[in-house]
Amino acid sequence: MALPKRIIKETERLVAEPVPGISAVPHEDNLRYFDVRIHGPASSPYEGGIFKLELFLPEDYPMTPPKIRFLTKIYHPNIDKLGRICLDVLKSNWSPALQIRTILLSIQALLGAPNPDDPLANDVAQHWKENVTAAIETAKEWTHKYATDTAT
Amino acid sequence: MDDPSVDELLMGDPSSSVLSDRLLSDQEALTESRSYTRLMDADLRARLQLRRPTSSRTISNKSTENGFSVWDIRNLEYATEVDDNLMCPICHSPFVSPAALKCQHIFCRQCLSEALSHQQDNKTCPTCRRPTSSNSMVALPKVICRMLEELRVKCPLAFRGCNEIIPRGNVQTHLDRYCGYEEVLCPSEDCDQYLPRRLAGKECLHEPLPCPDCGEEVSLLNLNNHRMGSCKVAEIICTDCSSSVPKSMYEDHITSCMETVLKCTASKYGCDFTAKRSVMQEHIESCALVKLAPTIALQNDRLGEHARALKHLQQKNAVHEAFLDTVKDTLATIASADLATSSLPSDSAAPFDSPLSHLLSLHEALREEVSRVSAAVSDLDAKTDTAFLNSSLRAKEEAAHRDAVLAQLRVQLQWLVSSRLQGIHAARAGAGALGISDTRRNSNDAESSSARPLPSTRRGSDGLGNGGREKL
Repeated sequence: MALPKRIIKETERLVAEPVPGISAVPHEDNLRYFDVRIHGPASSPYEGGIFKLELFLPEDYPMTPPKIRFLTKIYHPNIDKLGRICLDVLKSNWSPALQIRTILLSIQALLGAPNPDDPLANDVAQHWKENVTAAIETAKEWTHKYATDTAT
Repeated sequence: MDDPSVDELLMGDPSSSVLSDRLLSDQEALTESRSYTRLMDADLRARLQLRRPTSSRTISNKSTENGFSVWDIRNLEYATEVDDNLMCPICHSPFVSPAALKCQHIFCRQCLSEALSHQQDNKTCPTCRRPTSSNSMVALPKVICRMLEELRVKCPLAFRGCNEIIPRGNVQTHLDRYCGYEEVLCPSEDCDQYLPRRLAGKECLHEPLPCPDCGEEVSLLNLNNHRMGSCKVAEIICTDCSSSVPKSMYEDHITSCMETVLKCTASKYGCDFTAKRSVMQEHIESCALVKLAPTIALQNDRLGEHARALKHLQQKNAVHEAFLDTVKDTLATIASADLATSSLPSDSAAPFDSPLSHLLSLHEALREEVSRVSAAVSDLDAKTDTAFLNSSLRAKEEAAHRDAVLAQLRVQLQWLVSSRLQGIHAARAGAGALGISDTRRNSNDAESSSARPLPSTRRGSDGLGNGGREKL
């Protein structure tokens, strides 16, 4: 099936006017599949980390939300160990007026504001509720270990 | 306007005016088409999104190759940048028959219905999420729709070569009436095939005619393609000697045509002589550069080789230089560290200007060395202590275990002995009553045999216990 005009336009705009701290590059052989990199927001435990994600636009996008998953390990109460993200706009609250760049911005904002009351990774959320400082420390360690250039 | 009655008949409706244009352009098909017009009017109105003019004849037009073009207003390419405010937030293209919700957010009607159909029970505006319903869509004022229809777009047949730029609302008119690249019915009444409008004249171009060269039957429309491609006999006129050459021989001809102007074979070495092939042979025999050419080529190769070797060496050199830099850096840091340790706070600028300060610095260094060594010794001490503690702990545990086993054995033994003694007492009491001396002796024997191993076991276990204690 031909690529809808909207996807072409979005891709062109992502490349021409990238969002600061976010990059999304489509695969050459499948223009619905994007390699995404998000910089951890400043003054968050993820600061200094570069997180890789994969993004796939399903057949009926934009009527259904894009499928997004973290590829880099991350210690976050709303992201489980498979990289799946608990974010309302990626599920029930999706709207076709949203787009790739707004969704990626939402994910970056989620990194800056973890929400342990709506958890996906229960153990992490528990840790976050019981001892925030220790949890943030672990998140920083993981960021340093898995999300920096030195991490393999 | 050749036929005002038709125009009047269909006026006031954009889709039918499109049709009327088509009819005017095709006078011959007019009478036939008129009956279809009324049928299709309703059809076209329903297809405002995807205007697809179906053929008024019986021929199917599934493809753009045969019959009228199928085009989608959503896939039009806009010739100018369109204001962002006129873009549908869903399809990111200029609005197509826009519709507004109560919250005044506007979308293409089709985008909006599709988006709402994907939502479950509580329909909300895709932009602001305010509650809404599918039947609360309102069409936009006509003036805005007209402005949208005036946006300039490229002809949908641009891929066939049409360069027209037209208002969006006139695309169908353009295709139906003017576009030279749109396929139209063959003017001949006997022919039901199509051809591009710009080629349509009075006569049919589809009738098979024998090719003037090979005699194969080809339509006039394809004759040119045939002569350039599949025809084996057609002659090609050589651009150099202007003689016509059969196509099959042309390849050979251009490599041997005497009239072709050639450059000297040594042109890349500086000979700028050009002449026709007939004269070239003469020149080659006398040209000094041609004779030198093999030598020059050889030299060039060598030069290339040297350049490659040089590049390789340069790379190597760069690596070595980088290494040298790091070595220098480390040396510099070591030297500065030395400087820091050996210099005294009073005269940091000249560390060695008096033997006393030198001695003092030496003393300081030695003291540091000693403290480092003592720290190492204490560290080692702690390590051996813990190691010793670990091993002794294991031995202690073993001894405790053995003690426990011993205690258990003792209890078992006591129990055995006591039961035995009870048995003997009972036997004695029985013997006393009966007065049988034999039984007493036997029981005495039994007592001694059972009692004898007791001390030895005790001794053994004591020994073991002592051994265990000694180990501790």
